[in-house]
Amino acid sequence: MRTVKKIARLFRNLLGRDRAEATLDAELSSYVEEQTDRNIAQGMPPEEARRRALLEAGGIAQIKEEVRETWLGHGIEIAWQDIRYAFRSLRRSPGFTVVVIATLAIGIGANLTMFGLLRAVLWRPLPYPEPNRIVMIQVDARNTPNTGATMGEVAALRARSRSFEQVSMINAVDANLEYAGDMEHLPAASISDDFLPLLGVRPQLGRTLDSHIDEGKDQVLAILISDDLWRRRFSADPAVIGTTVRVNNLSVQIAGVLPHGFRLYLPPDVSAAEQIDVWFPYAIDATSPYRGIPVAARLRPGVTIERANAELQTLVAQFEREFPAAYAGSKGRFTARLLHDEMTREVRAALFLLSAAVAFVLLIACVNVANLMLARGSVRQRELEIRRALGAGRARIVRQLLTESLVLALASAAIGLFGARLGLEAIGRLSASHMPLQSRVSIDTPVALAAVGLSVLTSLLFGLLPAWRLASGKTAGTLRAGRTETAGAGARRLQRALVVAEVALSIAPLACGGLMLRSFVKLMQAPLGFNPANLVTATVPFSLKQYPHTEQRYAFLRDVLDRVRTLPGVESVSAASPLPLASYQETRRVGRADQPGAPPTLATQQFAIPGYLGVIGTPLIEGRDFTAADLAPGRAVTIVDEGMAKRLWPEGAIGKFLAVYRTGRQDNLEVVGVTAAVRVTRVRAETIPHYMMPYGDYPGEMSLLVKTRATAAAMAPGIRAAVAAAKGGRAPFDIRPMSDYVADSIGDTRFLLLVLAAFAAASVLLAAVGLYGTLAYLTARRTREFGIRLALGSSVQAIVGIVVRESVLLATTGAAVGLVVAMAVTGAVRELLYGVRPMDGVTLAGVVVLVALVALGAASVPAWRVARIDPQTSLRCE
Amino acid sequence: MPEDALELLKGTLDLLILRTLDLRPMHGSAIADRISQVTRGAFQVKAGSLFPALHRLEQEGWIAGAWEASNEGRRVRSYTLTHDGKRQLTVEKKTWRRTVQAMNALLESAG
Repeated sequence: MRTVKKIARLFRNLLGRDRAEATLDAELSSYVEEQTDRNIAQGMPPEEARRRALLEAGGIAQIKEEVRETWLGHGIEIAWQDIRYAFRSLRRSPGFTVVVIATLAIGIGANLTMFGLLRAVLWRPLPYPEPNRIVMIQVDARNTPNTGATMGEVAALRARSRSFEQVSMINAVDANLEYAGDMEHLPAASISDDFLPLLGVRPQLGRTLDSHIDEGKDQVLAILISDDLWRRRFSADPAVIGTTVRVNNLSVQIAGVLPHGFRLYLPPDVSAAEQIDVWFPYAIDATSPYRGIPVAARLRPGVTIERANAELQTLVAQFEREFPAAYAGSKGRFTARLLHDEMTREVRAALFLLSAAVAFVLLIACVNVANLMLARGSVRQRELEIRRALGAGRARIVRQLLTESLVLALASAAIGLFGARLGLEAIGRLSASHMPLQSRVSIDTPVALAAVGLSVLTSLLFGLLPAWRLASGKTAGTLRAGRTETAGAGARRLQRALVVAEVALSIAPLACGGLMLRSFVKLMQAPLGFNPANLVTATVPFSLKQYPHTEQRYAFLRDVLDRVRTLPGVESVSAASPLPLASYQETRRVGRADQPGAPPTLATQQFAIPGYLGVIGTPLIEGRDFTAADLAPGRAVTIVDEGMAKRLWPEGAIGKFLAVYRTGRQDNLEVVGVTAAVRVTRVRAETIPHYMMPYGDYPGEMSLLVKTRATAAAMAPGIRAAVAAAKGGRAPFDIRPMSDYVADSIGDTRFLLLVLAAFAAASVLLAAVGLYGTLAYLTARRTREFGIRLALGSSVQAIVGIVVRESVLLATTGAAVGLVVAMAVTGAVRELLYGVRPMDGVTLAGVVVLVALVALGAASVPAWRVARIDPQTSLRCE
Repeated sequence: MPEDALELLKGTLDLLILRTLDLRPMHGSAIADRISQVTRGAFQVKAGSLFPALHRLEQEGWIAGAWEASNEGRRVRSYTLTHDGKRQLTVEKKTWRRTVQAMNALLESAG
């Protein structure tokens, strides 16, 4: 009841404000009249009586103010007043307002961009039920990290583990869909029956997969398709359930359609696309020794990841005893990690770096604005003095000034929010495949709330110090002095300190940006061991069922190659699998055949046809290329790269035998050639040895390499036609220049570089504006002093020297402090760098030179003004 | 006869006003006069504290103001104790008595 009454009164107060004022006015004047009459009754003359009555009352204005403070809703009234006042006062100085809002909008916009990114990538839970119970199980075995589980192990985990509810497998594959006379290559996945239930997703149409029914003796019988594919190719027809389509040259039934908007979020090493269009059933055959399948599982309710890992360690000890062939005497290790953590593990350091850089940008913006407010404040001192004289308390003035700050910050946040939208779009374009989960990036309510929160925070950051200084009236007496005075030494010292802070803060982002630039340049110059220029690639899949024998497959491949070779603009053509820097690489354990006991080395394996080395431009150092004779079955030869040759046979590799270990099997290959070291997995990775085998019994797909000056887009129709003419029954995909693979491999560094460069540029720009603003202001304030100096015989050069010296002094002090901060930050991002140390002298020196140039630039305009000072005018001005 | 005026303790002014209005509705200066009279000049309530207090009590809903003609025929704003105000007065009286008892117990304890 009481609250209801109070709320009613609050509204009455807010709406009936004028009447309340009138009432108060009448009440107080009635009081004064009454007292006056009393005094008259005591014999005073009327004038005196009234004066005494007023005196006794003690300041009607003050009483009114105190009464108003008791009125409910008074705070709202005041805030509204302050806001109106803030708008009026900001409108009076548009230049100041525009600079402040622009500065803050940069700072807030950059931070909102990062907030949006962090939220999408790190903070927003995955869109599955209870996502913090979904884990990936990493399997390290046979001295190979993350080699995947065998099906036997998955079956055993299901049967024995008490920590997991579901243990399922997923394997990213490709699908070639033939429907209505059109062939399309689609991202696909093979999944065990409980994989989709694990993610809590059910088909919107039809049923889930059951490998007992849907996987026949030799072939898949049914698939699930995505909502997207259903709408695109099947016109969203519900009758599609039960329809037979051709996928990978097999007739399969469509069993179900997954819900609209379902996306698959898995760690990058699974290399599964977010949008999977075709889902194949995947029966778990416990007897298969094949290793390499990623495992996802769901923790039972209440089971911690630590407990699950403890249990996995006891289970893996059993597996080592039970499946000796799968471990070959080595130790195994199973590690469960939260799915979300696994997805974001590789980008955390980068995100940390960017967040730190962006926080610096905001701090610089705040310092900048604080400085501007201080400078403006000394101009406003008179206005504030008047308000104080009229009875405004310090709290009231601080409140008013902070309201002004908040209005500025909110306006900046609105612009910053718009900027963040553009920023996130730009990041989306930049990092398509390098930032997991970034498809979820959007400007939503939390981001908008963050904008409001940031503006409150920044308004306090940049507003509190100037407000407090101004309200405390440190320069009391300006009211009496009839003209503006030079700012107090204290204020000038504070402004200089702020500029030093600003320059210092801009060093860290600059240094990080510089280090990233150096890393990127080093990566661009890294010796790849091949030449990606003027090469167009295309991956050609073919069916092992259609071509069961190696000879048949090679005949098909030769047919394709011959057809492509005759295309206009083609200089030469070859094929290999996989391509260097392709996302999927085959790794094998290898060693010297004559040292069977030695611990094996991990190496990448590649199939190639004769002539491949020439087309891709890998120099042959020793020995020979493959020949047609090497393609004959049973020809166990290999070409190794220099890294491998040096490691295994420092005495000379040609003629030696390379042992390749596979589960329960060892192949010995004769080394016929040695090439330059090739970077196959990543441009960054220089140490993984590589070996090639002649095209043989393995691949279900080969990648064409076409040496041509034409673009991939120009070549695509010809390549498609050539593959179709060879009648392999599948469409080529990934028709793109070889340089794309290289660009992708260093894309994470390029992404970091570009974003950091943007932040570093913003911070330098802000620091330059701050430096210039402060110098211009301080110089203007000293015009009189300079005039006097000139009049007393100082040379113009000496005066200009004072200004330039001041700028350089401020900048170098800032740079010195900033270098210390920068060292702490760059040390933390060591792992993101390539080929440079965090303390890279060239970078740090470059940063200092840049800052010195900025300081000189900032000083130039004020110095030029000083040089034009006319002593007479300057002494007369004011 | 009157000793020096006492300084008003925080919160006692509310009690004084509520108690005064318990007799009959009164306007500002009448309340001040009445308080001064009853306390034999110990409490002199100045306009600077009287009017903010009246308005605060009114905002709380304990007293209600209305324009009336005073005895001298002047238009004054007269305040009436409301139902809520009466209840508040009882509460504050009780609190005050306990305070006084506690203070007395302390002052009259041995030593």
